[in-house]
Amino acid sequence: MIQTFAVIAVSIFLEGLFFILIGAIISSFIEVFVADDIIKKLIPKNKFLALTIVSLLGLIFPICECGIVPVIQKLLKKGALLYICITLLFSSPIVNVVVIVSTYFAFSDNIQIVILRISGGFTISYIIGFIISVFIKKKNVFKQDLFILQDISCSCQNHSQKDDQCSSLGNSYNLKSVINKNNKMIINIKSVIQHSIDEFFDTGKYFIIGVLITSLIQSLIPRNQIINFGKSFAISKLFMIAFPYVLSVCSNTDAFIARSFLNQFSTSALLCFMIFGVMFDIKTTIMLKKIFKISFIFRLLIFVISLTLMYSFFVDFLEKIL
Amino acid sequence: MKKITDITALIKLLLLMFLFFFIYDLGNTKRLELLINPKYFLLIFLSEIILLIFLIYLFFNIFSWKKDVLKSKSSNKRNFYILIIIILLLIFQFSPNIDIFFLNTAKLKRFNTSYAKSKTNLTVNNQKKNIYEKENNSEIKINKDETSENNNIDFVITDNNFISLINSIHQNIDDYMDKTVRIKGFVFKIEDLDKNHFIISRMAMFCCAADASVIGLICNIKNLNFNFIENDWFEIEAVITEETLCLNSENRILPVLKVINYKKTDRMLNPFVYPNYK
Repeated sequence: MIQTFAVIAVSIFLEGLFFILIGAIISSFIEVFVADDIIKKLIPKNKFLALTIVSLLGLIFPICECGIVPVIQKLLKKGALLYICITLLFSSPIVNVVVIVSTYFAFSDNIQIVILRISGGFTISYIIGFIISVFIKKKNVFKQDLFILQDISCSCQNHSQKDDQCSSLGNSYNLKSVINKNNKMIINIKSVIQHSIDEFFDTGKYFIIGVLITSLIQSLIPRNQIINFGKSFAISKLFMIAFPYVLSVCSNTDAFIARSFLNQFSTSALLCFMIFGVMFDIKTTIMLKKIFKISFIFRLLIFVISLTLMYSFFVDFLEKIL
Repeated sequence: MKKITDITALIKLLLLMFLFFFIYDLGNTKRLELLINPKYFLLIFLSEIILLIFLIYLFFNIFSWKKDVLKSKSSNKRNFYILIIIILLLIFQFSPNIDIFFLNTAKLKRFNTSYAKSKTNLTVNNQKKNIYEKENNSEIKINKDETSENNNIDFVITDNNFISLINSIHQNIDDYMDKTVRIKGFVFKIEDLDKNHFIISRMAMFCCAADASVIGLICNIKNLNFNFIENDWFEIEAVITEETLCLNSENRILPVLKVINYKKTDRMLNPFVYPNYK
């Protein structure tokens, strides 16, 4: 069993590694190059417009569910609103060019499934963003240390709090005293690398725990038996929500796995797999634990499950009337 | 002499080195393709470059890496890294052995029956039919060169067309009836099949080894006086027929290969087949 566990763990880790690294680098770029007030200025004041733009950001900013977690953490630290970040968290891995293309190829040019998947992802993340903007009080949801770090300009280990000094670059550099722009750019790039390393390890540890749990479950439970159990119509939708949660496959390829269930499950159940599986899985849950309180993650989970089920019933209804 | 001021930096350096050389070794020993679909190799290569940059940077800054003054729980953090190193070492001590994984996966009966569409259960809607038709038109390429070795063989199922062709045979049994096929794979048995049947199989990997499942075609060996042992590898020549079989408590009309010729072969170094997305 330990061999199966090892193979599954290493393969899931390798699959997510690039996206974790990219997520760490992007979040470090935000940390170093984006001033705190810019995020607030960039986001439209109109809530509905802001939610629409953020829900579609993945089209120009494709990043999977592993990579988006460090990015939203950084955005929150930079003062971005909670509902904006949550919308981005759920929409970016699904309303995403790579996901659109992979779904299109997986379902052999079937544009309907692509549209249903993307519109489902957009709608659910939009609604969750809206619910959060109305009902959730910001301070109640974060882990305490997230806001301890928010007060300083840079959250890396090596920036001091008051004097703007960065000691990560060998000796202590005073950023204000840097004479020319080239030097400043080099320092910024070094700073990005340093932040990226810290971020990679910070996010990576949660990712690894998620990978280990997923691998353990997968190496213990005969998948085919579970699938046979899940084929019952009454529970097929719930099953297609629970299954990708355990499977923790990357959003960029899950359409190919969903496609292999084409004959066994209805279109709406497949959409549950492809929508919920991208928004939540074991490793994402563990990674979110780094930012949010468990109670908030649980509430998010309930929101996403409920909305995914409602959307799948809506698709069933559409299939009947069309 | 300079001192390392933050022990976690040293742990990070060791972990990065470990990770970098581990992935390098996987690629170098061609084990990477047993863990992850080759279409991800570019991403793995890019990850290696990023890890190398991190590694070089950390190496040259290890002595000046300052302790985290803001986070008081650095000892917990250090303990966590040490724990992760132990876990990784434990895992990699049993360096991914695809042979054992392969046997365990088979034991877990991860047989992908999704392709086994029953003729009596043709409830697929037009939309799904279109998918199959389009797929069959676009994906399946039976290379004439592959059939030239033996005139009695209508087509050969190779690594490249394994998934798409088996899918096509299951979906369009009538088009393939009475055709002679050559296929290589391992013997896989499931409880639903009697002693005269087994599945000539390969492992399909869509994304990574975590989603690997066994796919193949059912073979009928009623007329052969030979015991096909599970997990042995064979190259068989067979005629495509159809039979009504009970799979997962459901009667289905399925394509079945009536074996006319068989040859025991060595296990292929890579038991996986990968879907062709084009």
